[in-house]
Amino acid sequence: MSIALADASVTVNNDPVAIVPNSVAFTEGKGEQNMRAASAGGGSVEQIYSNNVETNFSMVKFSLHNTIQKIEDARDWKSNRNQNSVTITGKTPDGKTITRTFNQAAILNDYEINLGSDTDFEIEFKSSPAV
Amino acid sequence: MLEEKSINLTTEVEYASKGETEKAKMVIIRPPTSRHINECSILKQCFFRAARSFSDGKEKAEKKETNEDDLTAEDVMQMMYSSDIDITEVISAIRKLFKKGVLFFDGEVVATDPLMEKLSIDDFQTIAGEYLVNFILASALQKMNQN
Repeated sequence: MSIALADASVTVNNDPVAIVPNSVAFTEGKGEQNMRAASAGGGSVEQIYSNNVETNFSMVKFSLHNTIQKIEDARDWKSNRNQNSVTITGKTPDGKTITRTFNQAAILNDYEINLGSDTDFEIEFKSSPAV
Repeated sequence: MLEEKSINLTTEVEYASKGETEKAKMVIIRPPTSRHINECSILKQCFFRAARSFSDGKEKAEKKETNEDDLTAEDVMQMMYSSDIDITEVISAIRKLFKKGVLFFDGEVVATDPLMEKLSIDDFQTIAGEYLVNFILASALQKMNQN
């Protein structure tokens, strides 16, 4: 039996961040690849594989509750430009762990903060490929 | 009192600095201020309880031969561990204290919970012992020695 990872812990710039459960998502930053066909005549094709390095960035996002502390934290991370480092560590009850570190992370979008009794806001970092 | 003390780590600790991952090989400890008085008071109280139970115990004869001024970080931690004080209270107070801007990885990044969790047990105990000897108990040990 395998156990899915659902409650990863997140740290930003060495500080633990309490997030909205089930809101973490990330990409590995391995980028997108392309495959084209080169005609070799007689109906045969040759495969041309290429790596689009323009897309070699990671994304990591999670949601935060709209407390003053979290809103101020998000503002600090945004002001830090690409000088943030985000780490996600997950551990399943059977002791298996996964860690991804996202260096040179920046919040690129102008994130929206929802002020309500049952609302949260999403923070999305773009970073160097996860390590 | 010392202004700061650097301690080399036996196990490197990864930390984030300016968006990059670095490996800390040393930490710097700085003296407490009145901002840290709660944690310092708990630690001082625990130490004196430990010292009393230590001197009341079977090690009394050995202790007479030992100059308190010569106490090392290791001695202090050993005294704490071998006494009947609640050692988890000591560890908890030390962790709280370290997070309040007195412990810096590579001399620049303030300690946080995730960073302290990466410290090896030996390194944590060494740092804790050095902090107690150099900053929290220094004046008390001097007075004890004068008496």
